[in-house]
Amino acid sequence: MYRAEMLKLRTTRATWVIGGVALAGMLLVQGFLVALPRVLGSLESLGGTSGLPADVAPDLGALADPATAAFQRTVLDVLATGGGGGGSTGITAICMLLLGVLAVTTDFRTGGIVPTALVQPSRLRILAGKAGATATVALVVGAVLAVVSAAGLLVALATTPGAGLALSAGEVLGVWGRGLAVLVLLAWFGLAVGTLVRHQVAAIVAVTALAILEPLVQSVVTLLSGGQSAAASWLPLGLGSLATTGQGAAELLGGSAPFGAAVALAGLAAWVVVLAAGGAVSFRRRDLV
Amino acid sequence: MRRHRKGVPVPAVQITGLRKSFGAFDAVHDVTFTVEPGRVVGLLGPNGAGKTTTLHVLLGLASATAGTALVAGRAYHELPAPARTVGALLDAGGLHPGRTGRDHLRVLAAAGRLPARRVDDVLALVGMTPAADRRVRTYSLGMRQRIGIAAALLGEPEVLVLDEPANGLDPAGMRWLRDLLRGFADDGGAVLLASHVLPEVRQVADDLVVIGQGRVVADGPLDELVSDRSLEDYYLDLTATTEGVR
Repeated sequence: MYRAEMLKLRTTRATWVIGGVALAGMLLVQGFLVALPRVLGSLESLGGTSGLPADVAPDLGALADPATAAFQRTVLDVLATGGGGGGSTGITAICMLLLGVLAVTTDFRTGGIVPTALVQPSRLRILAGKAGATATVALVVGAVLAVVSAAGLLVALATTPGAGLALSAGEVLGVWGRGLAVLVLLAWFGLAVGTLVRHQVAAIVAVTALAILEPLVQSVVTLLSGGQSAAASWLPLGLGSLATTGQGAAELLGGSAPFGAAVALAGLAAWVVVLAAGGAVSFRRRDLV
Repeated sequence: MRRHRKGVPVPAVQITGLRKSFGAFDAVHDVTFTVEPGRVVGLLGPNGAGKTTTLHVLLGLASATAGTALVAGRAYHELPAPARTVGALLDAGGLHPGRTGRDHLRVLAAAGRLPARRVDDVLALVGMTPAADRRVRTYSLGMRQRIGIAAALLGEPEVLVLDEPANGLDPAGMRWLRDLLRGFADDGGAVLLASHVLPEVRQVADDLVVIGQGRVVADGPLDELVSDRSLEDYYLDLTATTEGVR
């Protein structure tokens, strides 16, 4: 089933569009991050940042300094959150959610699930094939994004006098490795949502709403609790961002993360396991037509 | 395909006491019939009579509320190599409009672990080789049907289950389909053919199963059932009390 599902993804335009959008988003974020030090430098020379609140200016300074580890983690983030850490949804995350959703709902929309189930009656094998294929696409896209992020970091360092790599090789590989794992988990998250919802438009609306609303919910919970509640940190997309870059990026913008990258990765995996189990039960029990 | 289990011959298709309910609505109620190897069975019935639902349950796409639907003595999901046992066409084949006809068949060949050369074989068989690399959205309904039939033949099955396969086919295509089904049955295969095109059914079918309001209202050799009347007259008389969409 893996080969069949890979063929399905390769022979539909949506997969290539999703990969292209993820790449374009990454290039855009990289361009923004590389240009940011110069933009802020220009503003300072014009006296432009003097009007910023005193507690924000240092954060912006750290974010815009290519010599800092936080900046470098942000550039290497394959989720392309642009420094938002747990507070924003990267464009790559949205692309992976949609990849998973489309991998299963397209079969229901076009009726392709019928010939698929005729040649492979085991519903779990069909799902396993889709999981393997979406994971492969997520890893390929992630690998390309990692290369782009490396290029972005090289450009940022090369154009900043005196700046060097502040992260160890292990830290760099850690950011990328966890990033790739997060991309796979997000694709599976979308797959699970698509399997549960089945209707393509409804599933797309569901994951898009999640991407838009989750940062808002996080902000509201943080505000209402005076920054004391960590409940919103357990929402899936925030966990993905946190898992990729670790606490550094979130803390950079004043956020508070009560746990580290490994816990965040495990938390996101738990979301996926629960949703995928529900999707698998639904897929096995419900009629396909 | 296994034709015998424990030395006992089994029909190619055996449906026994089948019931399928959607809430309080019984789409199919106590449907029983068989399809033997070497026979073409025409499955007729008014719109909403339960023909397609019966096929869905037979093919494992929907669960039965009661009763059994077996292919070669097994439930569909228990078949060790379903693509090599049953070829089916339902609802124009479930084609993705952005995929080419060839890629659609390649996907199914990969899923069914069938040799890739079969794709070219069946494309040639249904006369779609010249258009195989065009996207499905550019196909006519008849061309989509041909790809759907090609998909059904991909695994060289011994049972064909076809729901309205003549939809959109031109006269040459109709004749080709008729010859294909007849030849398939003459070679020992079994065909279950659901159709509203009565003249085609008359020409190709050996046996007839008529479903009305979810129940079998006639079942037997076509010539015996119809006798000297036209199939249309026989069918309309039979379904006069059960016709109409439920």
